[in-house]
Amino acid sequence: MEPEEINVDIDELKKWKEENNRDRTNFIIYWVNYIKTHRDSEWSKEQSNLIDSQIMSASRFTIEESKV
Amino acid sequence: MFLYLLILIILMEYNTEEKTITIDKELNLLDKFVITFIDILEKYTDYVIVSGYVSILLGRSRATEDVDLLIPTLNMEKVKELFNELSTHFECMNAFRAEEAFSLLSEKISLRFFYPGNPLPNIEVKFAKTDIDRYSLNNKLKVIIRDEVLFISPLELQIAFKLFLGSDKDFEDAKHLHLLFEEQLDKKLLEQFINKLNVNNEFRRFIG
Repeated sequence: MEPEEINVDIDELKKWKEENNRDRTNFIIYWVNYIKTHRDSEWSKEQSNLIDSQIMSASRFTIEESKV
Repeated sequence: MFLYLLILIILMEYNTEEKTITIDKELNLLDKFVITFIDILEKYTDYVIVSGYVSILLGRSRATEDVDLLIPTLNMEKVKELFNELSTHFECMNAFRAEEAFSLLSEKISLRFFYPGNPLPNIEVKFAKTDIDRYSLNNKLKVIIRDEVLFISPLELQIAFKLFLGSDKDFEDAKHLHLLFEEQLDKKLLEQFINKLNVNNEFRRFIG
């Protein structure tokens, strides 16, 4: 299928975007509540998993790039 | 009662009178990177952390590629001392010599540092040049994380500024900070910054 053959329903996409934003906001509310109700050591472990994996993957990328 | 006290001790705490936030968090690699940098920086100058990393330090569930720091305007001699020691641990993306570093900083351009060979994450340092920058520096909050201390921009300004920046990520950072500290925030101060930065609509839409 070529790009000109694709049908785009902008209204449907806008609706999806609004729902996506609402989901993201709901997650922030959930996560802040998690922080407020769990020990710092617990929520920060979750946060570390997320952040450390991204940093590790970025440094692996750099190392592999430099080998090329 | 004992259990209640124990829970109080191990949850994040914001003492507004002492302008201090205490967190017993496990340090992630980004925190460790920032602390390593600050350990050198603070030997030479005052500083304040602004923008996205403030939210991340305070629990936001995202990473970032850069951490923004403001420092007061320094003279050439001081920049030289700072740059030379930073260069023993970090690579500077846009300056190779202290003279260049000073020249860039004086032109309101940030210096960007990272671990040698690893551009992500990185730290952007610039002189505090605007009134907002100077307010951040002069009214910074102390964050105590176990044995470490970092200084961050006041939360009221941080929230308003994030709304001003205006990306989805910025709105979410503002929402996170507001929800987390809604009981401790100085509402009058927050309103002042919201008016100054003309983000009333954004505040109503994303926070209020």
